[in-house]
Amino acid sequence: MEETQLDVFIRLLHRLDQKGILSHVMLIGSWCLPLYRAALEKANTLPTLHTSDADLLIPNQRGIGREVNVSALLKEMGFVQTLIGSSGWIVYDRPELRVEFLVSELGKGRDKARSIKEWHITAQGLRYLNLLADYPRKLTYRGLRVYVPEPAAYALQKLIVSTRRSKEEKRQRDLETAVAVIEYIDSNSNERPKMKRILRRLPGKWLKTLKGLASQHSPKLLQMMKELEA
Amino acid sequence: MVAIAGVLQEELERLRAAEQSYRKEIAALSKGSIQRKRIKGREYSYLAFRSAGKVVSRYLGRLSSEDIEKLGKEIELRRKQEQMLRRVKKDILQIERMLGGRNPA
Repeated sequence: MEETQLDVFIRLLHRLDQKGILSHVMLIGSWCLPLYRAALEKANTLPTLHTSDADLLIPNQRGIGREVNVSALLKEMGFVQTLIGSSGWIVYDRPELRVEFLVSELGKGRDKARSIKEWHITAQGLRYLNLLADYPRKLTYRGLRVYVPEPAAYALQKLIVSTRRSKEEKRQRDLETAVAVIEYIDSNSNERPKMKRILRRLPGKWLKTLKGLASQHSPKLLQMMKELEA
Repeated sequence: MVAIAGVLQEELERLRAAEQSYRKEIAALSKGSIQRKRIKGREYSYLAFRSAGKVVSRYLGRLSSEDIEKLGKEIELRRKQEQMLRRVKKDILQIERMLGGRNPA
């Protein structure tokens, strides 16, 4: 019988865990949503729609440690390498899933591919990923310990990147996901203080952007921001 | 509904790229099957494959057992990747139908 997308995804996590590198990556992007739903309290209101892209952020490139041929591991699993654009960024495709490795790009530099020699892969550098990397949460999912961003960081990052999207449909999807996650945070007494803690540490420019977006799309976030100002 | 259409369009683009990647990888891998024949007490290995509708049997010469094993693995990988390619093509067709045409924007 053919493996489902979820089967492949779980097998991928297990293989990374067996090689000792699952703890060195953070799952970001839309695949966080099924993990939040499965592992967090009362999170079944979160959206179920996710893409086929399993985005793996490498939060600390210097802490990778020993050499593991991740590229060969993925090839063994039936993934094929796809070169994206001319930046040298390689992603890994199977019929059900695409695996992408990402790193934080700080400052205003151009988003570019970086070679992660220890793992024989390339990772795409993207801005605003440090917001996710700075707020990790370890969840237990199907017997595995997986790092994901704090839901609050996830929602705020989605809001911020929505302003950089060229495709209207993607921008709308980012906004809808962010708003749904903020609704969940607002209704959960454990999550609300975490949102405020993160907001307190954000640069003024980001807060200004967020406030504008909150006033248009998320009254609940706006309320939390006002509570901080008071 | 717009969100679903967007996800499907994105998926279609991904699958089209994956199709090209699988094709490229498959083209670089050996095809066929390894056959061993014992002639006058000695074992000889051949690579049998189809070419222009005919089965061709190519003598593999004095390849070491490691080389033959490596070739066997390559053939096995090619079969797996061909299976993956078939699934990718099937998924492309399915999404194209869902989006209402062969070349949706």
